[in-house]
Amino acid sequence: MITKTSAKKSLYVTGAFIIDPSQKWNGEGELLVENGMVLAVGKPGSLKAKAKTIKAESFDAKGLFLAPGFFDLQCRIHEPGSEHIESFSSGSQSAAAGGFTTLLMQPVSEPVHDNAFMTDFIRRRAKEHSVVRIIPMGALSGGREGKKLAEIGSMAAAGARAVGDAAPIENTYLMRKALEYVRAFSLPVFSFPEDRALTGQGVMNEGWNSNRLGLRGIPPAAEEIIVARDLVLLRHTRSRLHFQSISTKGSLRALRMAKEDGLAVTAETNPAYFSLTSDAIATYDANFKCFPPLRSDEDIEAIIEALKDGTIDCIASAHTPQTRATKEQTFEHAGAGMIALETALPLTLDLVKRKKISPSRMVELLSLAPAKILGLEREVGSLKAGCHADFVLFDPKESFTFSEQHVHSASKNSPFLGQKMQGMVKFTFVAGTAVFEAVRKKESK
Amino acid sequence: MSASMKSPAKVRHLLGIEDLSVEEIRSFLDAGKRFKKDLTDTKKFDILSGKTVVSLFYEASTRTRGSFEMASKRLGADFIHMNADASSSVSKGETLVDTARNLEAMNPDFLVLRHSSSGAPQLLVKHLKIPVINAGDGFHEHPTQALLDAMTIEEKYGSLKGLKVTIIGDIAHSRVARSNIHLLKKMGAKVTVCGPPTLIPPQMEKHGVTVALRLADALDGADVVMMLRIQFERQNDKQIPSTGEYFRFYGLHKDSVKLMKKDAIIMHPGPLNRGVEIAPDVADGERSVILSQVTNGVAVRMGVLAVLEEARA
Repeated sequence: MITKTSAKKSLYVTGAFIIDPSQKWNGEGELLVENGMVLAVGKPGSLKAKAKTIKAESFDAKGLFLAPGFFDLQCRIHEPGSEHIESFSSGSQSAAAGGFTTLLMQPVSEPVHDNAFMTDFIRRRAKEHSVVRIIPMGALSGGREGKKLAEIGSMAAAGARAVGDAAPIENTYLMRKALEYVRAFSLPVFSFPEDRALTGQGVMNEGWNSNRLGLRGIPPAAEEIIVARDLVLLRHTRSRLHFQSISTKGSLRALRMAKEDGLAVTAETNPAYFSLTSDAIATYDANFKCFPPLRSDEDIEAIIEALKDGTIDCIASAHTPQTRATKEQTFEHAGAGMIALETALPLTLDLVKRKKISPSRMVELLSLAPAKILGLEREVGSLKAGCHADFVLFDPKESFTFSEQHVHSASKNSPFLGQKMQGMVKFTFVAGTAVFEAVRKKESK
Repeated sequence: MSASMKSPAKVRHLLGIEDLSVEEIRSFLDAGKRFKKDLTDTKKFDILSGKTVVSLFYEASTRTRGSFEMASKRLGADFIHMNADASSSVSKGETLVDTARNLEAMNPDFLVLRHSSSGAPQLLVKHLKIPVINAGDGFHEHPTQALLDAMTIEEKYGSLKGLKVTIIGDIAHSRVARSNIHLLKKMGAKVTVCGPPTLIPPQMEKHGVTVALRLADALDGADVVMMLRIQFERQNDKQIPSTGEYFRFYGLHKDSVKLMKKDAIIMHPGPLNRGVEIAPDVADGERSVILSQVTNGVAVRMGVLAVLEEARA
């Protein structure tokens, strides 16, 4: 299913602390890679003889953590169409720098990925220009216009693994039909829950901050109403549904109930929604503008709880590059979204540091769970024998000041620029080949 | 993180009232009062002679713009007005920051900005070196309006302390309301806001104000009543059924005036919608200080320019 052309390397990685939730591995160990695939994970020294037999190249990862490469379910790459915002090359390098080895590419290209020709085009271009694996997500509706179904079956046959408009589907009937239709092709529908009428011209979470700043508010209800609507439709259609960018406490209440009832629903949140609140908008910095908007402390608490108890299945980056010109506007008129691939690990590690989640839960949220949602856990998101040797080596303790030199994306719209972060990706491997290596230099403290 | 600093002599910009200290507010008001007194003898000063004030307005305005122009010219400055509407560079895709940088390259000494987006002046001061005066940003702040209102109230009552001030109208979309609330609270007044529930934003009480949903409750015992303009251009189509119904329940009529204190004053930032938020005979009646507000507007803007010029020196 997933292909990635690169030299088929054999590699013997030693000295690392390995976390692989798929085989409950959580301790020192070594990894043996043959021809770009995982041969085995074992106790220190146990794979030495085998490594010698297959003439694997040795790699010393002493002091580093090793995990299956991260899998991003919500990444915006604008190729074809707006390569200056993000191309396969820039986007995939940014991903590699953040420890991501597989991206589910949102259908935001121009022309829109709503047909099998585009699926094919994206896969070919990605193979040539991306350093990580790219999986195309097809649009749910033709032209992402929310009017009629896109050619979902043909896109699935050509390699699309999910469908969704990466934007709200306003028409309830269309959503129902999409949920029904995908059942023939074993794809999940990705819903971006937002009631646009309720959002109106809103640009930030509705509450005290929007009142004080004089900005139009978006109530949490705008998200929760569509979560509730889509869950009712899911119950009716017995299909598969994934929610993108869950950000409110009320959404979680509905999700919890649906999961208890055994509906085939999964959900993601994004680092912004457990790291930042609307308080951050105090100076009208448009880098904090995103959809859904940054919420309240209460929502963050609920999101973290849901990451712990499994109501939220995984963390996606919601990487949304924007040009300087679109961000150098008033908050109201600025483009929404933030680049997020390179900050996802430190922000998630912060939850580990604060003892909110365990290291192995963190890896599950970033690697295994997203792979499972797309049914790809036998290929990626795991270090079981036979999986692709896609992995990340990181130092959870190393801190650095996040600056433009760390940004490999073609866009620089991160609200975290200038901030101190802890947890650095040192190497990222795809099919046993290093696609990213952190520059070895002293960080200015 | 305000661009305006804390010591009265060091205020570089006037972006809003929220970040000002009582002393800073006092210095603007006192300067305004001095100019008003001096204006009876002379109409021209040389405090800003040789200086240029540029006003950049992204929203139509007659009164505020004219008031800033008169204030600048009476202080001896040249005044250049730029209307940034649909026909200008804005529609050609130039960002606000680009436009302002271009203006700054022409070496003006002050920039007066009005913008339909909240936070526009906060964006500009990150990129410009010259003092910026906010002449109204979105629904956020309109600091010189609050200052001229305070000056007008002080002329009547001497002090703001302990007064009951009621603000009536579209609170949600009003920068005049926000700036006035900040100023009045800082100076010790008690504030009540009143309007249809659809036009009262969430968590209004956190401002330390009382929320009244009925006009009678709001007017009861008020020393000052500020009426706000109902702005239909600001998407009120689903928020109130009609101007007629609005006037019936929230408009200031002859009858409702009786609920106020005997010597209470009526204010309005203008322009008036006669028969929508205020009855014509009330607007022109003896309690109305609407024209004093306009007079004080020029004086207080002279005060603001003079204080900022002094801070720069």
